[in-house]
Amino acid sequence: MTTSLNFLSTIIAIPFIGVLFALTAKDDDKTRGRNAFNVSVLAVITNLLVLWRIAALLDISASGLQLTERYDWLENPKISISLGIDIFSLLLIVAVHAAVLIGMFGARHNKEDGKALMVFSLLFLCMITGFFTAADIFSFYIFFEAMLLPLFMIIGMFGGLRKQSVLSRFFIYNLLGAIFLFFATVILYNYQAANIALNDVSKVNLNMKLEIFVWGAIFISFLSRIPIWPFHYWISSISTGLRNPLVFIITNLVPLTGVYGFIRFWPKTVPGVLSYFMIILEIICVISMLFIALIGMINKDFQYKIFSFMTVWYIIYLLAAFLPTDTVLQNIGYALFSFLIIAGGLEVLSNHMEKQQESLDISSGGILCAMPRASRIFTFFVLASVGMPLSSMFLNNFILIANLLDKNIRMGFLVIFAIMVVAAGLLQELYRLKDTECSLPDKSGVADISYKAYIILLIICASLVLTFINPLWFVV
Amino acid sequence: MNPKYIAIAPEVTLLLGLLTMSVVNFFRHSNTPKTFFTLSKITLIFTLLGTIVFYNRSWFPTVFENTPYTSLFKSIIYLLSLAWAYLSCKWFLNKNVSSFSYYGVVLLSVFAMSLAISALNLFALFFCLQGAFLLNYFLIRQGDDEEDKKREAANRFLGFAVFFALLFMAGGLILHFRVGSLEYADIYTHFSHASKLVWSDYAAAGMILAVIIFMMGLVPFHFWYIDVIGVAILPISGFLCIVPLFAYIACLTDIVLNAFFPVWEVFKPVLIIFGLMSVGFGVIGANAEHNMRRLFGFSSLYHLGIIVLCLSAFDDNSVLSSFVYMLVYVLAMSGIYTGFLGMRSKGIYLSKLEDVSGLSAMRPYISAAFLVFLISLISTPPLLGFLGKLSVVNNLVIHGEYEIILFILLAVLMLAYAYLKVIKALYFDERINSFDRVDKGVYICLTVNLILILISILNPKYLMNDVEAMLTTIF
Repeated sequence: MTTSLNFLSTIIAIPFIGVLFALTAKDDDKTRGRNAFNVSVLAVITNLLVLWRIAALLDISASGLQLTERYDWLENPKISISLGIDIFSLLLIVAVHAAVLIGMFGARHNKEDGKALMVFSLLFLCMITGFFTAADIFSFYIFFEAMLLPLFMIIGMFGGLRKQSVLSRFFIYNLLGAIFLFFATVILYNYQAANIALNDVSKVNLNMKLEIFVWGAIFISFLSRIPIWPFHYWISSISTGLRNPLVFIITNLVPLTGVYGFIRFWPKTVPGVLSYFMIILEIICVISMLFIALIGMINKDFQYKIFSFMTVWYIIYLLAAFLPTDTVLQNIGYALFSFLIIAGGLEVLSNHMEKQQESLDISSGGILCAMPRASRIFTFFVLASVGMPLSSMFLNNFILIANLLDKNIRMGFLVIFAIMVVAAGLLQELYRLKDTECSLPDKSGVADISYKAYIILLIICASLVLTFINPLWFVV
Repeated sequence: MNPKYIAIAPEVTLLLGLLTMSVVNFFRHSNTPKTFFTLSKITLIFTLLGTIVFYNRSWFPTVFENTPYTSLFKSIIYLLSLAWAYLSCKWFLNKNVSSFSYYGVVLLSVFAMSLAISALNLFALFFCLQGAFLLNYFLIRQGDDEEDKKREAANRFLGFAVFFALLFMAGGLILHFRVGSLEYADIYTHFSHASKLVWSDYAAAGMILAVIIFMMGLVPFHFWYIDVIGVAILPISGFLCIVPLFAYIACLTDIVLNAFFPVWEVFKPVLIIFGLMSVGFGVIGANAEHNMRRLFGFSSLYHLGIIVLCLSAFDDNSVLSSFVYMLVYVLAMSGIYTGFLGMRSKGIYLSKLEDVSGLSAMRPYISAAFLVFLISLISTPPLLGFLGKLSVVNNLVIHGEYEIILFILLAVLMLAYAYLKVIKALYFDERINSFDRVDKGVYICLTVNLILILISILNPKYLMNDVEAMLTTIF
């Protein structure tokens, strides 16, 4: 479908325009980055409205990318930038926007360099939106690598990391992946003497040697974004040290780009040359998943539990992405939509609790008893995250797991075991936080979330419930 | 062909400007650093205009020929010299020292480089290019700080420069003896008859090429370059890092294509090895440095290595790709040096990493611009550096040089690590210094540079189409 309006470039441009406005926003001791925050929130909400319009224009039953746009960028080598969207990428873009918006509200009291945080977050949003709308290999690569800079700056400036060397390693790991993708992209481009649409990448007939090299490079580049062995270390060491909810949310969107890359490059089937290595990858995925789930359960840090929850599900979505059916892909989209919003909500609330705990120097056990509003929302998010019928994670994850069991029953059982371990960890934490026995008397000074935040979170919960009834409820 | 004397107007303008500066310096005693900058500015603007007007006119076609190719390189050199002259003025104003000798030598150097680019004769090339190179001796000696270090570096430089000038002469003499002429066209014809060639022909060609590579500062001839960048005053380091590269590359391309191309396959592997060594040595050196100027000196080696690796095939695509990379590199590097002018504490220009810690807190715009240029230099999209990387890698893929690509891309990782140290110091480390107020001229230049980067990355095709047409006139 084509329209006269360039909606896709608009949704990439709006956060960038937000960046320009945020940069010029007045920032002094009095405003403390509030202007930049307002501009950023406005930019994200505006984009969500444009996305709603895009959703209305999309033909859900149609296959392939819609609302396509194309710009001739370079003459020698001849490269055009193509953009396109389908319901799968739309869901991810909306979810990422929602998660970042939640994170922005969670980080709005960040006193230091609030303006820079908003600027880099919007820049990241701009790049990741471009990434999800990229329709050819060059634009895909450009946005794949371009999001690294804002990510690096956000983590470095606001992550509160004790060891800066971890950050450098994180950047280098990611850059390595991007470089592999770049190499593969240029080879494919020269082989076909043209820029290739994403869905056609797997149809390119390369000779055996080149095929191993190109697909191997693409494989490594996406794997470098997902915390499975041997790339698990950087993201776990980064995530556990983060103390800003927005930074945590943005950092944990990185594996999503890897999963999305796999899905886009392998629309229905794994390329022949890599099919031999798939079993090895599946074993590594399952082991990494179990390992991270178990560490998440025994770890006392709730942030690590959220990290392990997100990682386990990312790996499940990755395994599901290799299943050769379109239905599964659609389900991944629906599930990811709720998953990202739930993870964002959990992180913001846990950060709020942690701040209260630190400022009052109290234990966190039973802290939710002193904050009823936060308690209700937190309970909802935890229950939704463990797979209760409260969001699209329930039915769609069920379908995914069923398909995984159908493909390989042993792998399916191990996946279920990992999910149970993660869920046990989250429920255990919920129980501890709501434990009435240790709630009094030292929790009397604890501040609950504001009514404004409560209402916003209630709306988010309601929209999640709607996704349980109809994952595409917002598509009119 | 009849000489067209009007076509020498740009070079004459440079000489007239130089003459005017000398007269003003001699008779006028109330000169400020701005006086000589103003004179240089007017001279360079008129020279640039003259070059554009007479872009394809030659005043002495058998010795100096102007083509759109040479005019493109000359125009870039004039533009960069003009921009850097403006920024250097800030340094001289801050130090309150005479700028006559700096601007004088720079104009003379630009004059010699301009002639060298048009040269069609080894004799002319020798005088112009060697002249421009030897003038660096006077540039290195400028400034009154660290006198001993400068003297030592300048003397070492002079020693090597004279040695390589003799090498060039020897090569030229051998060729004159063998060919009977020093014109590129005759040399080309001579080398085209492979059966008649003897080892001394190859040796002579090798000597001349080695001298140009030495001037570029490519490994293994990099020793003078890092030495000089480290001790020279900021305006000189900036000038040497930004401007002469275009002249050397233009001369190298010209001499290889028009004189030595029939035997180029013999020298190509040597240039590739030098290029690879430069890339490797550059990234290792950059990682080991804590002095930012030396760090960027080493990083220049890396970029220079990439440029020659790309150029080594000397076909139309290689020339275009290396030009694109060079343009991108120069834009980013001029931004880096502009940033250096904004890093000042108590009147002293800072160059150590620890001295600029936490700059972003006090000078966010300078830091942000620095960040953009750094990221551009590691070729990360969506910044302009990506265009350079794309051109180079695409060209290497066309030539099937996969091993070289892999080497370059892995070297980028190491270079990125060195740049991350700079970013970390600027953004993540605690501030330990107070920073002086930054001149608005520095902000203006940074903004112009950033706008250029933005425009070039958003729509490179309009610019590149014309550049491609101009570059093909070398063939």
